[in-house]
Amino acid sequence: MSSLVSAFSQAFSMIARLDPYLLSVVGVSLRVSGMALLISVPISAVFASLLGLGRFPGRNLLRTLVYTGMGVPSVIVGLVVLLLLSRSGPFGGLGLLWTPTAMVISQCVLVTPLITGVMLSALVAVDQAVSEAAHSLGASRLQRVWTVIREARFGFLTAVLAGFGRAISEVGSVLLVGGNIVFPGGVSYTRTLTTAIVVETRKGRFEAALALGIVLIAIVLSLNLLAGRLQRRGSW
Amino acid sequence: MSVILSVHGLRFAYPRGPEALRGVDLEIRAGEVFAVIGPNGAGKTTLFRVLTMFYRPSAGEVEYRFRTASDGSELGLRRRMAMVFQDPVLLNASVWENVAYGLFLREPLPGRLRVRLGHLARRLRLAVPPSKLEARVERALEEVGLSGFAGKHARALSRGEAQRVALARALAVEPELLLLDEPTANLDPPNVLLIEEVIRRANRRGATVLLASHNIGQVRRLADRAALLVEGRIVESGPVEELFRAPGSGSIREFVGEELLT
Ligand SMILES: Nc1ncnc2c1ncn2[C@@H]1O[C@H](COP(=O)(O)OP(=O)(O)OP(=O)(O)O)[C@@H](O)[C@H]1O
Ligand SMILES: [Mg+2]
Repeated sequence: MSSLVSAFSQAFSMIARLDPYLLSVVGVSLRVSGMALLISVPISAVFASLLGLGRFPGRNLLRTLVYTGMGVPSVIVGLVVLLLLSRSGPFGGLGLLWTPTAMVISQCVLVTPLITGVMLSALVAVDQAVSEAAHSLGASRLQRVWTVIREARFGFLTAVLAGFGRAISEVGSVLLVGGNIVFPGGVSYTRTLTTAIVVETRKGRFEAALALGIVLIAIVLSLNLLAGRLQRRGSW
Repeated sequence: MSVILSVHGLRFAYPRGPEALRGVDLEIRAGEVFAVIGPNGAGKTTLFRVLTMFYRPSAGEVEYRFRTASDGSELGLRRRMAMVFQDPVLLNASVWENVAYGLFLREPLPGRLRVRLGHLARRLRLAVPPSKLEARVERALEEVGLSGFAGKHARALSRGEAQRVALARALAVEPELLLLDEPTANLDPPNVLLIEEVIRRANRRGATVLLASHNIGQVRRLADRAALLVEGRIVESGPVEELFRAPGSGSIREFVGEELLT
């Protein structure tokens, strides 16, 4: 119990004095996961729309694949990306291994099925009658699709939040392809909040690890609160 | 009177279902209120879905002769019609957004932007005169007696209000052909009368109305002509006062009941 209290006070004091190490670690986490989301969300939206509203052979198989991909362990994604980017791998020449770019790539691969899956179920849940009503009021094919997507917008927001939550809190893939590198001056290059927690825990500094965990949760929590407000306003 | 819609030998079957329409012939005249009556499962809703081109018929044809059919394309024809469903289907948005929906579909991008900018400007307390689109939305809401409801969320409406919003949304696009699929099912008497009055006014302003109804009183009050649909076929049709005059044909008597014939 006392370690929890002291973790909280340590977290607050790190935040209050804008600890440069903490800031750089948070910065890497936000930049990597933010970039991964920026790339993954449009791709997922297109996938989900095709799978949710399109009609083509193999659609149900693809849906099943997406839903299966939602739960893929991040270490496995990291391992595959590692093999692809390692010097002897097919993309080894790009020299991306152990850079933030590699982390962005693996998080993208990790969260795209999750975001696609949540968006997909939001689209499928939109009443078929909405599509018919749109048609009956003079919507073109594209307008009809857009109307259904708009009806699923809160589900899309949930998908983005779930994706961000998964990306920023995963350890496995960023550890494998990012390498957990900190510059000699104590500024993070590829160390994220999660990998920093692993490091502190290994060193036996549980309170520092907990403090980082509190910062991580605070970030995810404030984003969700913001999204909750947006949903409640309901005017969009 | 000119014919606005003529239907020949229309057939339709749902996938893996029985044939719901088995050769329907109809002629709807411009400016009339035409009622389609028939027991549950007769195919009324299916007929309306085919007429609005939501389903393609498996045989037969529908000829649309709108006065203002822009280019004769499928979309052009569809945009001369609007349908109100048995159960109101509103978008998860405000009443205003719902009523404006059909107008926005028809409005090119610059016009849509102008309306949105106008909203924004008014939020900043600038005096911006309402656009044509906004004026139409306002008029449609007035028409159904829901002037003050623009900002309300569609989820927060009673069933009667929701159905009136659905009707306003259809009226806002000023359709030549208004298809109403049991528009007053499950509504209380005041709402039924209100909606009937709105239908009458829309018809007087020029809309041809195709009405599916179980309510014989309503058909008598509103319709000029009617057809009885049974198991996907029209078994009887004609002017309302002739159709329901005693003794009536066997099929009408069976559907309406002896006591309702005059
Ligand atoms: N989506 C569907 N898929 C398969 N069969 C359907 C579907 N919709 C309707 N049917 C069938 O088609 C037939 C005609 O149904 P329809 O809904 O057109 O009747 P209706 O006259 O509108 O009935 P009601 O008065 O109950 O609204 C019925 O046998 C019904 O079971
Ligand atoms: Mg029906």
